[in-house]
Amino acid sequence: MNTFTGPFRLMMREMSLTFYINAAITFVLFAFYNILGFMGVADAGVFILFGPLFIVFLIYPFANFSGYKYILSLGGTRKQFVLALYLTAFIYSISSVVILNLFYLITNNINSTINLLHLAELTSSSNWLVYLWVDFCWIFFLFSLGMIVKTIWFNYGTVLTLTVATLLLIIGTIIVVFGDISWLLEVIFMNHLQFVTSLFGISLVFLLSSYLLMQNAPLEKSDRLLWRQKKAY
Amino acid sequence: MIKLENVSFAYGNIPALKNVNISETEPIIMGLWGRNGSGKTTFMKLLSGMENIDAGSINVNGITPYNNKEAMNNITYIQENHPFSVLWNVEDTLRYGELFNKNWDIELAEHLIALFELPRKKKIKNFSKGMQTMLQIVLGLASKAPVTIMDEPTNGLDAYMRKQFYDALLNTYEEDPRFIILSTHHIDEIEAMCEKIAIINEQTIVRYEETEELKMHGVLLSGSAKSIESLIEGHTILEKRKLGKQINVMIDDIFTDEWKLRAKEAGVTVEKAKLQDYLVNYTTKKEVQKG
Repeated sequence: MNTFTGPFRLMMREMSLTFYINAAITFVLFAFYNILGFMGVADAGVFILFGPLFIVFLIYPFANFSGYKYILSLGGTRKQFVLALYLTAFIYSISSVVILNLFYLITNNINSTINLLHLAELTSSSNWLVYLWVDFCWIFFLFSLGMIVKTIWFNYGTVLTLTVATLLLIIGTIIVVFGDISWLLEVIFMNHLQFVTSLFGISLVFLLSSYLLMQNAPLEKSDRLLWRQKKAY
Repeated sequence: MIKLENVSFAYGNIPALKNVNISETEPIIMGLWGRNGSGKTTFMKLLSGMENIDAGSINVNGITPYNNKEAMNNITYIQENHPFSVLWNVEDTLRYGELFNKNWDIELAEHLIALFELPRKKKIKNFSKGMQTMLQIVLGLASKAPVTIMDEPTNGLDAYMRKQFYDALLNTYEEDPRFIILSTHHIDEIEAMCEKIAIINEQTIVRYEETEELKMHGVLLSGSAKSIESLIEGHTILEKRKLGKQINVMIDDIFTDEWKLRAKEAGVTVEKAKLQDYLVNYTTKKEVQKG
């Protein structure tokens, strides 16, 4: 049997619970919004269905990092853990995109008056592939963002992670206050397809960086050294 | 089976292992004994590929284990508190055992589950310490990995279950001889099963000997100080206790008939020190004095 089968199956199981819970929440929201639509009490509103499934991908790397020690303790490698996590996230992200867009499709076809917001509407495209792509890019980006943060946190600890986060926040604030970000807003709202495709590119960079950090990650959180120390033996 | 040459490893600037050398080519049951902080766990982590060596070379069943996917098929390392997911029950563990070990013996696993009377559907997170240890034993023995490492395999087991474990270990070893390492703080619990014992102290392996040979070490003398002083001259004293005019001394020598004769002539009591006591004293440098 392929040595990747075990790590992959293990990660699928670990991630399944949060996925099913959030898929169920999404279904409940879908049903609830449509009931409101049939009742005709929500004509003026725009409702968000993608929230639970988008958020869960941001927290997946945090919620399922325990798979790291399970895989290592069963004889797997760090690389197998990362690749199993990525493949599992990819499969669940495709499933999420399908679920979300199925709910959008059903809502639009059952004459409910409810208006569910889809970020692909910012692209002004009616191509269904664009709708799938936009959702996928956002989900994949959120997962990769969670992954890089969790990887840095796991490797270097809370202090360094919070320091970097604070610095990024300060730099971001300076750019917003003193800089001109109108071009960014224009890209987000006027060229959303280009924007989400850029997010996909950034996701790949985050995931590659996480992979490189994790392939020699410490066993315990924050045990990685920032620079090589002189060994004491 | 295993070969480590000048292996060193440190956590930052804290050395965990220094210049470890050990080689074993036969599939035997080996005991690994050391006091807390001696480097046992690090040694096992390096063997299993969970950590990478800083210096030297390591070969386990023909492979370098760190970040090597083939290690999965060659080495099983059961930790003292082996991590199990909160989602898992016994059946999940058996499934992953099969997925992660190409030599997985499902019949042995089922037999051990029945022997230990483990509930198949109950979440492992709700198991007692003893039940978790039993499940770890199942995982370790049924893996049938050519190199199987078990850290404190009898922790939390009652006397009956310990016996069951010993029997199961010896039976499966007899059926499929493989290199099995049993790590412990209490050598008395496993010495009867081990053909060889490695002693790890101050971050290196200081002894690796046949169990029978090691068990012969440690001579315990009791009697008047005057009688004993002449007997122990020139020997390495591992422990010396004064009780009024009487003293008890443990020396680092092989317990032979000659010692019995000399003790009888000197009018002192002599006996073989318990292996555990001998090892504790052997590795407690601060109490060592030269006679």
